[in-house]
Amino acid sequence: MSAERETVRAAMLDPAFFDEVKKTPGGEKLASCIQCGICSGSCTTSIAAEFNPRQVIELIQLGLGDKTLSTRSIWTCVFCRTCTVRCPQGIDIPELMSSLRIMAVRRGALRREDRNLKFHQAFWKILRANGRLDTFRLYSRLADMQEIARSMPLGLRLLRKGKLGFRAPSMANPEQLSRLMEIAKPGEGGPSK
Amino acid sequence: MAPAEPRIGVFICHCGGNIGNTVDVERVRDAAGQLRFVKCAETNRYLCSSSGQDLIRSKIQEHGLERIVIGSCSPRMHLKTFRDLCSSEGINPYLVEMANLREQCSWTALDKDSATDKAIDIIAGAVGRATYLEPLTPMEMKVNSNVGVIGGGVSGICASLELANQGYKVFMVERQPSIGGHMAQLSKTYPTLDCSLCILSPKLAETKGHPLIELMTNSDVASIEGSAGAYSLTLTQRPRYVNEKKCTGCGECAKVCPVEVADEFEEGTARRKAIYLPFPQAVPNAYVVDEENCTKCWVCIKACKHGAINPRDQTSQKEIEVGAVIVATGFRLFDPGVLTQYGYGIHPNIVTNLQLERLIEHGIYRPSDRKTPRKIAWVLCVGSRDTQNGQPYCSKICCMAAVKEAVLLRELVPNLETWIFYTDLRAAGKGYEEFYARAKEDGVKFIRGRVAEVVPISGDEVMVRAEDTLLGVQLENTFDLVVLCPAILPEVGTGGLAEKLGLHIGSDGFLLERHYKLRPVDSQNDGVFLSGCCLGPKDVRESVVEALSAASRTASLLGKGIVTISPDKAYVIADRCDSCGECVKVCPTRAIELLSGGATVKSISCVGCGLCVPVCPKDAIDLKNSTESQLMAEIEGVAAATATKPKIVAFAEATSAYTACDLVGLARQQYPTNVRVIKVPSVGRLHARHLLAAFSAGADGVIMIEGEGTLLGEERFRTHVSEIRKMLTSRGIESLRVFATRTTIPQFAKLASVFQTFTERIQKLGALPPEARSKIEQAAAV
Repeated sequence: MSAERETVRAAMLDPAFFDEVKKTPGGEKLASCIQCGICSGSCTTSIAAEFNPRQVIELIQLGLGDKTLSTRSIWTCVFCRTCTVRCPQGIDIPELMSSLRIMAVRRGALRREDRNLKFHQAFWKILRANGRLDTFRLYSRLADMQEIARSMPLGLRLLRKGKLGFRAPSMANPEQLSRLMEIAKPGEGGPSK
Repeated sequence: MAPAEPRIGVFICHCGGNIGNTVDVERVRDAAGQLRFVKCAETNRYLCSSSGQDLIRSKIQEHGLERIVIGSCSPRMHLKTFRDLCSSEGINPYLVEMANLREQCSWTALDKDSATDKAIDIIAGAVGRATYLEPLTPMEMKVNSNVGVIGGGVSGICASLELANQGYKVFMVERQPSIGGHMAQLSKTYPTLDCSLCILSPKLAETKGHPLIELMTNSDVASIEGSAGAYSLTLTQRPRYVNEKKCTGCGECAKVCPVEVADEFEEGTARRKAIYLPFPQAVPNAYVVDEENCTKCWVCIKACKHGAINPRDQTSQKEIEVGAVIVATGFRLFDPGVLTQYGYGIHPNIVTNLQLERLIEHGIYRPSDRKTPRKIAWVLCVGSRDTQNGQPYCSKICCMAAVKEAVLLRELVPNLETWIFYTDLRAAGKGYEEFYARAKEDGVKFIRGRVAEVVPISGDEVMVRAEDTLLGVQLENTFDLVVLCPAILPEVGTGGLAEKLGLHIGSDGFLLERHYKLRPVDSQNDGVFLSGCCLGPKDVRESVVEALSAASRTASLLGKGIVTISPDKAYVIADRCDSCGECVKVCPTRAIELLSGGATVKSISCVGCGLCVPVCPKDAIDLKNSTESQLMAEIEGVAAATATKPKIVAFAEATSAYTACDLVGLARQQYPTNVRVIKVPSVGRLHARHLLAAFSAGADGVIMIEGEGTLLGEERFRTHVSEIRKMLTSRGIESLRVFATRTTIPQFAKLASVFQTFTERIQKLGALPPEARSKIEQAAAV
């Protein structure tokens, strides 16, 4: 729920936004949403978010483009797909969230220091370099000293149990991965043909 | 044979803007005026209006018109209007021809120029055909005044009583051992809270006791033959093993029966024996042996003091003759187990609304421990409005049923909590909104949000999770009874019955009415009427309304005592027939016999499909109202009038395929204007010479569309088409220029894409070279 309740005025609406999103992966069936709420009732992560998936779709349908792309709610999806399995209209919500994130980055709707942006950039960089996720390096790229100090006890516990390592994990066939990466073309919103 | 100088009048309708916005009506009129034998060509804003009809009348008188061509909507819409009009002016109704400029032209086109050319071709075809039309008179046949009613639920019962009370003899066929249907299972009915059985039982008794109603339970329809006014139904009656007349319903047999199974009337909330009475008020009030579960130990025979049990009872067949049939086969519930997140079948306290109705009748308890529930949740839209795992439509009755159950239970159980989780609450109906308001007043809680999941948490309790969409928050709550409201589906076997009766099924699986608004209880088959939930989800009141409508429609068919039969029948030109018998072999209704004077058509049995015409090696058989000369003239007109390139002629079978072509227009789906449709009784009516005529006159491609389920079966359709192809190839027409397909009415959308892709194909191939055309003409001349 939004904390402050702002009146939506015509000037805030982007009439082309809905059609634009409809053309992106996950947006195909957007118009058939009946706002039943089964997605949001099923959502495992939207409790913390400003808008739940149903409300994100309503923002898009209304044409509140800036609001949609600037809300942190589009970054909370963890791709569990429960919403999509249950959606009576077959809307691929995780895919939609991905498309919205890409749109947000392209439109510069995020600040450079945005945590979500930094996270995805770091995640991608590490994956490209090693072929595998390296939790330690990912964390060290994101966290500042204060935060590292704060989470030290947890880090130590993880280290002791072998859940966290300083050595980067590597994969057997890095060439194959770089070929895949080439095909996927980061930032293109999906594999290029 | 056409008269020497037929006087034809052409009238073209703007249909407001429906035709006029996409077709240059005045240009079409000018072109029509140039056609041979056309004495006058006029336009009007609405030809079907009284001023439009007056125009036609005055022009008939002014020019002494003998044949009329109307360029307007589909003949399915107004053929009768214009035939009646011309009839009143002394013109034989069969001398009226309609050119479909709306559904099959203006509504499928965007470009005015090419749509106008298409309209001119269609008019030219119609004028060509009109030149050769012959006056015909429909035949009359005495009707059988009996009625067959299939289905003994509230709809079938009300239709039967209505007809029987008007003096018609009714045969009621019910698959279950008792009539009553789903209504007998309900506790009370909304919005008046009448006790369901209290209002239904008198009707059951009246049906049983009515001297004009013959009841056949445990019975199915095996086959049906004939046409409106004279159907012959073959019924199969499964053995009951109990003599209905001797059984007193004392129940001694059930006491000794060792087999116990789930009771279907109780929706599995109770158990019954293998010999049982479906429910206390069952009609007929006689026990019945459940063949599937009975072990044939027959201890019941000894227990029965009336000697009513007959172990040698057998399946029997019975034939009944009726003039009309009413289909009232009802509904079944969607299986909520498909939506695994709702836990149906996993926890005893998760039930369907029909199970809840039975639990209410038994004094309401939760199944886990038979204690009174304290907190009940209703989950609406279980499989409704769900294009992924259920049905796309709204099942309509569940909202009100849930509201009713909640109101009812709050009266029965003090301090009961009732929560209804809905997607959109639909209470459209007389007194329904008021009833909903009363429920809110009573304290029923309404949560707007489709339930996400129902999770068992203990032996008695389950947790319901949903979003309260009005607040945008997740809501979790624990209940000791959760009621799932599953979608309403057509009863099992609706499809099979439709096939036997020649009815059409919509994309939702329900039977299709002849016209959604104006003929809502007529089927595609004259003499078969539809009523109740076989047409779509509806409540008791609406089912009864339809029952009375269907009864009224039946009575107006049978009440006259005669039916008129279309004169579109095959006829033999006796001096050409050499009695080879090819037509007899191909006739699907066995309407042709070989007599001493050659082949003879029995007009009553002939359905006018025309399959016999192309097989005759002597051209000795023809079809009235679709004669060789009429068909050839129409093809010539359509293919030759304008120079559209490429030009595609599509032959569409008159019932399903032609209707599907109309529906493409009704849905405003666009396809290239290159395609022009010609109506034929069946693709089986066509000979290779018709396609050659089309190519020779200007066509560059030909499509043949047959309806599925017509008398030209799939197999025969394929061989027929491949024979035509062979003949065309031998005359130098590439096989790619011919396309054939079959369709049902609901599949109409596929036709638009067929027209699109075929046009693209012909555009790639290019126009038929002039050499090829002249080769056909030369061959024809020889």
